[in-house]
Amino acid sequence: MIIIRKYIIYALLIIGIAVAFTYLSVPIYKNIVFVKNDIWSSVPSLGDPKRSIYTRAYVATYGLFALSKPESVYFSADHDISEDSLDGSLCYILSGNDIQSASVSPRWWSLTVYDDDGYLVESSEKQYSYNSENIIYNSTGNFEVYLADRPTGNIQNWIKTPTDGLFSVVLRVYQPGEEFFSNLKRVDLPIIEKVDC
Amino acid sequence: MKSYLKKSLVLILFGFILHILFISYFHVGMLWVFDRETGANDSVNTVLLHTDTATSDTRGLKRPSSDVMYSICTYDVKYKPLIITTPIPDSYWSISFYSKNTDNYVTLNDLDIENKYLKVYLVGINSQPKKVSNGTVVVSPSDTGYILIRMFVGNGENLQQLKDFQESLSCIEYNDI
Repeated sequence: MIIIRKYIIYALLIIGIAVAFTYLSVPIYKNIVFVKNDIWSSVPSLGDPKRSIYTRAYVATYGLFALSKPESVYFSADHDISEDSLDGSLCYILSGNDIQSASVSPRWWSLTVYDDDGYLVESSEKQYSYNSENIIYNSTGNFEVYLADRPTGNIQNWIKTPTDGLFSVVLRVYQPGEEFFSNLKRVDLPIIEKVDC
Repeated sequence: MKSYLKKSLVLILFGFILHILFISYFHVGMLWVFDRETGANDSVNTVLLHTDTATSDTRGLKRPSSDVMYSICTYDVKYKPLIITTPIPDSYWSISFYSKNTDNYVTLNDLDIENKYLKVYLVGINSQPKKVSNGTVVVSPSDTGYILIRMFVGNGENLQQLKDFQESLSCIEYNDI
């Protein structure tokens, strides 16, 4: 009985150590693998067969069937330019230049809002995202998207955010070309800033 | 003291091995959930499902795109190849092949396909067909896996046309082997 108890304690210790390694590996993995571009972070080739076991586990958690280079690149933002987490009780403006008119020319792109569980936010308008074809540009060719739980009269592009809780924005860029991939840290991407609701 | 240190190191080593095993096989658990929610286990070598653009009710896949319509085939090419055919639209379209560990080993898009008609022979390591005609051969690194087709909906004007393209998709076993 004492021996069995001893082995149970060993097993629990091993599980505890494994959990600790897993917990510690997340920030280390993000620091090593993620490419940072202002508020956005990206893993350059998520679906690549040569990816590490950590990237495979990351993809399984957040997307399961990800594309690899050169087909697509995914950027994710969960904080604004003040480095505060994106919070559904607040209001934000996402603004940027037309990604297709930059020095690089992707085939198309989209911006999508997800709740803290990684699902689309319930919206009676069913406007969960904007893409390069349905977004409304302003006269200078740039765009603004209002991120809040209710629309505003000033900005036509609006994506509903969760009323409570955190959220994230994913920017997908399809067939961006080699130059885009080699400049992931510097390519001109939209910014997200808090505004008064 | 030495014995205590030795025991601690052995426990840390086993803990690290368990951590590596957990990370290595994490995707298996997520695929199990996906298969269960989509019925993938009962629909091998056929079209598993077509989706409209994702909504807030969409489950099964995290972070789905609401700008893309998906079609999914599951495959098992251990004994027979699979032949995939479909006409493709003028807008962005892609077909991506995933091995059973979810690696994206091949992607073809509409710019890669001649005559706006796709014909792909998906073969396994031990299921090479004697002959193929007018098509692209893709070799799967694993016997089983998933095929995902993405169609960009753009401003949504041609949704019905894209649905017609979805319905034209065929994933069937190739018997001329």
